[in-house]
Amino acid sequence: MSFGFTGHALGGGSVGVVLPAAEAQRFRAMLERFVTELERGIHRKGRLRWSRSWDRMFPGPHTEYRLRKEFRLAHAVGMRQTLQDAARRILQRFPDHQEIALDPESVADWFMVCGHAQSLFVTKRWGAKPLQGTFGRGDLEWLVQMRELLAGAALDFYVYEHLEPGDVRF
Amino acid sequence: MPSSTACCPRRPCAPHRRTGTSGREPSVKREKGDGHWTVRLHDDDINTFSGIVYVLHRLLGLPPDRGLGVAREVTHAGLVELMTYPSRQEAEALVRTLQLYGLYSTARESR
Repeated sequence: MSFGFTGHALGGGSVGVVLPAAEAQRFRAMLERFVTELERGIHRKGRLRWSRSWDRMFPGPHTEYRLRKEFRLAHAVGMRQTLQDAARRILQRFPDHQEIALDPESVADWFMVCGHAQSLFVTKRWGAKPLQGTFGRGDLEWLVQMRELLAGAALDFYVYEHLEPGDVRF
Repeated sequence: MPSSTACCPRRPCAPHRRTGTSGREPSVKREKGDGHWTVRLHDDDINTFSGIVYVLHRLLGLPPDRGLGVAREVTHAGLVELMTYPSRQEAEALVRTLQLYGLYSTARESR
């Protein structure tokens, strides 16, 4: 599946993205939904409580339950807030033209949000075969490909030029 | 575990027989928190090489060639030990950031 956006390296970790109006609208809708659901803590209304949505977004950092709980108490709110702030910054600076120049900080915001907004469409994005299935497939792949584009362009496509035959390709 | 204990746990080996020591040292009971904390990066089905290299470069300043090496290792081995810290809090701070960037990372105490 390919989408209508393209990107190029601007050097120094900055990225230029060409985002046609339809793609921009699609991204904006996903961002708004992501911010709303982070605020409300509900994945789909009536389906998921706030307490579980954090577990869906982040893998447990420890094997021991007590440590996982302590980590969650210490960091859950802050992590959620960081994502919310990043998504809000993107929305505030959302471009009204097709060509966008993202500085390294904005690239990081887009990269983070494009990663975690995937949890709108999959139960656990780090779980086995998250791209399998059809639910939200188009939007999910949009986010995956945008994230890939940003990471590649931020490093001047170094990785693509140095992949070896045995390497896993996107 | 002290190396000499590992060397000859049942009876003294030749070097220890020569020096007249048993090779057994009193075991030191380790308290919880004695060890150091390792941050591990796990393989998953959604992060790509580019994503891993980008995050390692941005957060840890790892050059892209070394980042690519880590990406290959994590893909083939399933996980890689990324950094070691003396405290759990420091390790968790990196885990938190890596997870915010969408990488599957955990912390583990090692001794």
